[in-house]
Amino acid sequence: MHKYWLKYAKGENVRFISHLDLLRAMDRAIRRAGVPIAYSQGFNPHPKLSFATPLSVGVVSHGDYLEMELTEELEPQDIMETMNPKLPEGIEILEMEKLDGRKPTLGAIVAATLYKVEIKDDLDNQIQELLNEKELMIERTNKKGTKIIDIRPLIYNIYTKGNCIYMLLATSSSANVKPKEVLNLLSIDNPNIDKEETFCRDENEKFITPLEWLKN
Amino acid sequence: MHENSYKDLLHNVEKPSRYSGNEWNVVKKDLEKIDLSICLAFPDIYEVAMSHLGFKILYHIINSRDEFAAERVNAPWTDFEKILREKNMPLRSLESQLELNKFDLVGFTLQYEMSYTNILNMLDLGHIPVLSQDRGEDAPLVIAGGPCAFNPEPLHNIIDAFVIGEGEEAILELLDTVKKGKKQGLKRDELLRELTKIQGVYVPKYYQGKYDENGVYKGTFPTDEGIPKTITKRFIRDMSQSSFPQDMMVPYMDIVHDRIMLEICRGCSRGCRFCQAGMLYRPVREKNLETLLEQAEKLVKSTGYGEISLSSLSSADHSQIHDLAKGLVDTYKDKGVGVSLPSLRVDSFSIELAEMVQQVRKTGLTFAPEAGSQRLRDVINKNVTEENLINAVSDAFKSGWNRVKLYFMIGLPTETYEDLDGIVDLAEKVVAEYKKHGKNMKRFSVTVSTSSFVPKPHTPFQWVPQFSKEELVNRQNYLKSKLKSRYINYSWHDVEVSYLEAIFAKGDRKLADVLYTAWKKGCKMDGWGEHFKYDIWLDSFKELEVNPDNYAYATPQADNPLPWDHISSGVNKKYMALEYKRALKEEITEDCSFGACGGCGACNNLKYDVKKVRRGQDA
Repeated sequence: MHKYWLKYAKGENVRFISHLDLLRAMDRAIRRAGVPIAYSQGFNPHPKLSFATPLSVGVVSHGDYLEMELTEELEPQDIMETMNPKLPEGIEILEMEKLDGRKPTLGAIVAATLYKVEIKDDLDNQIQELLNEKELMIERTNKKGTKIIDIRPLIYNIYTKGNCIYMLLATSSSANVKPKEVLNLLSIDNPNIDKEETFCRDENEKFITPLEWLKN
Repeated sequence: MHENSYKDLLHNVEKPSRYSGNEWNVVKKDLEKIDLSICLAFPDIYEVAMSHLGFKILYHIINSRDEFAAERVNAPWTDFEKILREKNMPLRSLESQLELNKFDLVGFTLQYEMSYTNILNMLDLGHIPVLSQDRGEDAPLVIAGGPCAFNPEPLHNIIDAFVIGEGEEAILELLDTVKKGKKQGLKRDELLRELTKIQGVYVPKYYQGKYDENGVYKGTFPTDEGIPKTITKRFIRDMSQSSFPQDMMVPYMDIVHDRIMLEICRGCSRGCRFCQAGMLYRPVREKNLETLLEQAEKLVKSTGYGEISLSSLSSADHSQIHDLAKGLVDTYKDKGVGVSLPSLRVDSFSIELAEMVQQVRKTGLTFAPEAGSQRLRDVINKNVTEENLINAVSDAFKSGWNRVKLYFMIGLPTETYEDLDGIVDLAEKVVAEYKKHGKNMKRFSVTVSTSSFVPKPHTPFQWVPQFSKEELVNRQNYLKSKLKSRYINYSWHDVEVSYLEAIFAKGDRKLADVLYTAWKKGCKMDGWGEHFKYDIWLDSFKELEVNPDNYAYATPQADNPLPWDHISSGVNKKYMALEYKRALKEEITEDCSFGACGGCGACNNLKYDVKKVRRGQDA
């Protein structure tokens, strides 16, 4: 089997599709393109595609990643050229790399996400105040109930550029913060969030993209 | 790319991709560069609309013409409607985000009576006057087609023109006529008058009901010279030659029928007496094997779907079904593309066929015996026997199937409690078969589902009164008390909905006011249990002094005029009356494709020879 990591974008046109919708769209594009994807065995065979992180409904992304397994070895460039015309407008493969040797799953190495949101006012002071806080307690409700957690250690950076605010936030199975949770603290109510890039860490704890991590 | 004007609104609605469009194979045209635009409107939510083959066929056929643009709109779910109304934002098309009232035409598909209030609601949300008479020169022409158009009268003051029958050819003729008329500067009325010249088009404003001195209905007649007395349906003569789009749209979200729907044949000549589709789509027309294999190949390439469903009213009856299924399975089994049959008749069922098509995914099997006893199955002309069913399920269980669904109707004409016992008996025999041949009792289940019989126009049972709501509930309760096995799940339909469905199915022009009133009072999404407001419907009937029982429980005489007599499906009324008589005598009528001609009139009236075609010869 031959594994590849892909960097892809989910544009404005498809902002409102869900994570599962995206998975289906990829599956169909692969079939349209005739890319020899591997299928799982069993009752309901699934294409071997796995996403680094789930992508929320309503979020545009310029840097998401997925792993794909093929039954034949093909050049990354060729796969991109075959697949991109078969993807719906708004979904695009930006870069891809073939994996050599054993590698952890994408989901296991992802550590942070950079988000961007347009803002109307100058928020530099509020952002500084927020970053100066020792702890930021918020309430989180899920099926199991409500709990209070400190998200300050999960906020790696917040800054503004032009009329946008950028937030580098923790993203992993053990530590995760949603952009909306931070936007709430800053009283920003723009729901149109862009995901700029997904990061993992190198051996020096520096943030690099998954494809840089592969080449490292 | 059009800026999505709903963008900021959609963050707070359930399933926002219902409203965001941009699906694979969507057609977006520059509306400045075309002659005529039509918004195809499905009066239900996105998932239902996008599961409907006819809607997609028309969309792509219209768009295949450079000078026309077809876009889509669906009924917004109540959460999104609330936002649109609060912000006074008009309902827009999915493609260009154009307001409904800016289109040249809006075309509704009429699939079931319980979607009628949604039509009024969508027009209103699209800022188009709900009543035809209030629409000015600038308002779109509002047209409609689909099976319910065969009794158009309850919508006579809402829809400007109906297309009766299959729309592939008629819609293009209609659009050509509108295009020409607009170029000539025809007024709305003149244009509508032009449309009456197209075969199969019914413009209700040129017709009026006649009543005698006692107020007894005497039929609906043209009000002007030159308007046809009878509107005969359109139908496609040669399905293999008919355009069948291969660049079908592929939605993002999980919809009801999310697969390639390869239409293999149109119509069904089995002749079940309750079945409206079986009468409306006569005569049967098949696509040939070569065409089907070619269409399947193009569809797989163009859509990327992992499943091909062989669609029709009775797919196993296609004369080349074995070769077709085998051909497709052989081609696609290693490519992750499965083949499925949407429905199997018990008698034509062969386990070989079912096994063949389910090599990739083994889903549950569905059978529709419709009635529990042989006597009642003879009444409805469902020519299957208990032996057929038992053999079929026994074969299926031996081959590893664990789940079976059985569909029945209750309240069929002449039905007794003994017939209901037959349903229980059949279900229990299916359980016994599994105990004999099945492999895993833990995985085994039988679902018995009953719907209440609704008499439909243009069928032999159009004269039959529906059972009272109380009696239908009694019968459902009876079944509930008898279907006790832990392996049997029983599900049933809301009797109030079936009652209203019967009223509108057999309705006349008086119901139009009831419909309008009920919608004004808040009725919509009547097909969705949580939104069905039966009390409001009853109030509306009362307010307009229309007795709903006179529709659902009416027993018209066979020679009395019916409100839909001026619309012809090609099947003669005399034949339907004869079939009704035969039903009461428990006499069966053969399938005319294989047995004797029943004399329904369709071939004769439409100049067709079903037997020749079934034997693979030309039309």
